[in-house]
Amino acid sequence: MKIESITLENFQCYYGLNQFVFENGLNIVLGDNGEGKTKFYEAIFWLFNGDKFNLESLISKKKLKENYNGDKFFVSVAMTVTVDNLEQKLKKSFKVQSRAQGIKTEGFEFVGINDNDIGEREKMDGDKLLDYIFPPQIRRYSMFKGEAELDIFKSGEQALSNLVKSFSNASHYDEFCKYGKYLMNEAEKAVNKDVKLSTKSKRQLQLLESAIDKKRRELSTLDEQLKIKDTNLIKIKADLKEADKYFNNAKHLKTLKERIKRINDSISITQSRIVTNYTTRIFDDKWILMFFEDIQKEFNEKIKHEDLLRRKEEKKFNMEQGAKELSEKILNKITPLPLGVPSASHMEEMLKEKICKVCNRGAEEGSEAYIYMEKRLDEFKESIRPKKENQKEILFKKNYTQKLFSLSDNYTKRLIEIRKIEPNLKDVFEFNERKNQELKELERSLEKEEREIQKIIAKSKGESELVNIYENVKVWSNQELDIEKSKVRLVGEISRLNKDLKELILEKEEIDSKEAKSFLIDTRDILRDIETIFQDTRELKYDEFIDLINTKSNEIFATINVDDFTGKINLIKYSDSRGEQIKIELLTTEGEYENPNQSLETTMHMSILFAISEIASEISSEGSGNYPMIFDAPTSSFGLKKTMDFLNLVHSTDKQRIILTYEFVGRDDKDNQVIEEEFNSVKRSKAFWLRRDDFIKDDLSTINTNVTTL
Amino acid sequence: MTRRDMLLRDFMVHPIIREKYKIPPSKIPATLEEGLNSSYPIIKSISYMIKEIKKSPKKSEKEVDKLIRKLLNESPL
Amino acid sequence: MDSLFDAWKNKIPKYSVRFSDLFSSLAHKGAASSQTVTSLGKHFDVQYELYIYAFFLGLYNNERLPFEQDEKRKDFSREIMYWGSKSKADRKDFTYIQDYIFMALVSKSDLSLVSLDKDDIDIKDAVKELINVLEEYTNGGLTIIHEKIEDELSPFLTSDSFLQLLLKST
Repeated sequence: MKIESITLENFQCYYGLNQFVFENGLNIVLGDNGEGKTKFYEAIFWLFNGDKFNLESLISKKKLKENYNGDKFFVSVAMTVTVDNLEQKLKKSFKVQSRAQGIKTEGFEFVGINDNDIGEREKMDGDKLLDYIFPPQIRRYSMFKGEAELDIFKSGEQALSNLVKSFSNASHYDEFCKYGKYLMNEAEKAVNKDVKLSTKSKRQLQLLESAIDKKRRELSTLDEQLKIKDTNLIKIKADLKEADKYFNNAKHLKTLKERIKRINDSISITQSRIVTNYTTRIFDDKWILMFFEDIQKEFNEKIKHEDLLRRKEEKKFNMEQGAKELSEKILNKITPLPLGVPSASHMEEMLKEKICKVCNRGAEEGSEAYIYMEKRLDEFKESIRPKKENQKEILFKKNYTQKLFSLSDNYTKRLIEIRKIEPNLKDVFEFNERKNQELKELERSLEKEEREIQKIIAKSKGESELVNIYENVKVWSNQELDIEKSKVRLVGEISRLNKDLKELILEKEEIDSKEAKSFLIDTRDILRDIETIFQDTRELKYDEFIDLINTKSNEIFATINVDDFTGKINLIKYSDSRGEQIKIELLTTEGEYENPNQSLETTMHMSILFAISEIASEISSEGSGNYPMIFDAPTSSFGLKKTMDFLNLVHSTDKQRIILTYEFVGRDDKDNQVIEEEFNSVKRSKAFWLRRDDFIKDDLSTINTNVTTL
Repeated sequence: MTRRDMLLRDFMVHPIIREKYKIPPSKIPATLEEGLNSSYPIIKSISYMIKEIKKSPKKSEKEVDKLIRKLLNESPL
Repeated sequence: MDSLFDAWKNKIPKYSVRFSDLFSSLAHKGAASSQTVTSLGKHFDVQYELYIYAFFLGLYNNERLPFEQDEKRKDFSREIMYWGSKSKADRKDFTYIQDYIFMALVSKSDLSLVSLDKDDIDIKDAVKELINVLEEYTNGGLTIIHEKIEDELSPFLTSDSFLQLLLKST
């Protein structure tokens, strides 16, 4: 059976008609989380299993809004398949009307269109056609959502009995066993009845029978107990196995946390060393003087200039002073008499009498001669007076500018300091640049470690759970030991009881043989043997079937094993209180491989599923041999590279497989979705890309998925 | 080779047939018909059970039981 | 006062009131903030630091901007002689700045030192002239800062913004 196409019409985020045309071999549907991948899977699931309830939730909101108060429209999922070269179609649909009063759904139907071999098309019931083209027991093992669903032998799932019923004739033998047992019991009863008729060993017989009964009841009780212990043991072992995974995760987590702490410490240290006090250093480190050199020079020039000016003026002044003094002393170029000649008293006398006694002329007050004499007297008086320090006239009375000159003197020293600023700044910037780089690196590695932690936490449910698990493991390990011990005791008891029982039965049968009619005994013996034959044959058939799955699984495992794991899958049958179960083991040359990682487990489960699919196609009496399989995100734990390898290997098996995945969808720098380059090297028959239109957060009617064929 | 023939063959390979009842290979039936005509009570019984169990509507267990008993009683052991 | 320098550093220069906001937003008020108080994101520890910064900014950019007539001014009550004294444990003493400012003022002003020492100019006038130069260059620098705030959305976002602004001086 090959799926030719699947068409979604107004189904959830698929507005309008969206057709997917499939090929044989590997078909890949790519879509980031939330883009419509799982809705696609659910559409198929609804086609196969959906009923007429809760239809409203399936309607495309966009279509609803568009057709508000408008025409009726359809919501449907349709699938076209070919079986033995004949086309068959299935369509599940209903009509929708959207009004102010509400949404009305009607006309739910599941229709099949069957092309029969005389070229006629006949309409028929969808469920009937579905069961014909894709039998339920096969369907059940052909569609899987997520990695966890792949483990079909999870305890309690009755997968083995389902599989046997579906794909093996081993189930026929169950009937015979039942029959054989019944007949044998009847024969036993007949013998007992006959023996009782004879009174000879009645009492002995009665005792034996009651003893046998008692032992049988005891045995049954103990058997029950044993079964329960086994069930508990298996659960505890499973829990311990999970815990072990978590232990490893917990240890890993601890290591990662330590690494993160170390990185954070480095970050703190690096951050603290980055220079931030630029503004204060402008002052403290003299950076503010960075361009001061020119001004310094200007200043120095000015000072020099002022100094020159000063000295010039001083010189001029001194010269002037000197000249003035001299000129006053030289009157009419005649060398004056020295001071004190005539003497002061003579001068005073002459002044008093207003007569110059030297030239015997009168000198009236105010006359030139009188004034001359007065002046000479003053000069003489002046010259004999003790001179005050600053009495002499000076030019620079103040010395306000002393500091400026001394500032100018340190010129060179200061220039050197100013010139150091630029290289200093450069160093600081470079240092900071380096520290910032270091910081970036540290933060990158921090991000990486934190992503690792998130992955582990996601896988192991959560940090706090890890703590619980630590504590539980101790408890469980003790419980495990206890159960094993008590099992040993039980088994011993059971074997003792069995022995006793055997003896009692032998005793009884001796009496039987003696007392009962021989043909009854013979009949009983034959029927016993028949029962044994039936039982053993049934066991054999079951084991053959499991071997078949085992062998096929390993063949496939060898081809799709991306982990380079050298080992084999081993399926083991065991019974517990709920019936017969299968345990999956991985065996290497050293024994059982405990705790396979998630991707190895997934590969294991996929191999088994592919094997079952092959067996189904070989055994199935109706429909064409091969059936497609549909997986939604089966390789989440694989990562990009392993997924690539895995898909390539699946493609090489050449059977129709539809795999939905979010791998290979990434984002570019503008945060647009892109298909990663690696996808080009993935071998496939067909590929699709699901992308949602940009939508408005609270307006569901804007959600719509677009399908692009790659 | 019908399914029922295969069923019989499956049962016939059990070691009890050879070892306990010492039935030689030549006497082991290839078809259900042969088995029903076998002179060995155990083979005949099994064949009969196959015939009856696979028939529909199924005879009640009690009836089959009676028949078997009759079978076994009639044949020389 | 026997020295121009001493007379000058007793003064407190003023700034235009239109820049009051700058001072309050960019600098801490009063004494330098203690170490225990988180810095509130202000670049300058004390107000006069901003003043000094603005002066050099104006100086290096040749922006000497006289005050408008009747432009109101204010000061922050810290004489020049106290500028640069060590304010916190993690700061240094930068009183050297007083010398440099003084040198810049002397070189940029028309003051005749010779006339000053000759006592032809009153010391008070000389000091007034120097302070005037100081205030005008600072005015120019504050204007540059003000314009940057007007032009840009987040002008002084990083810790090196002021350093960068200074480095850009032509």
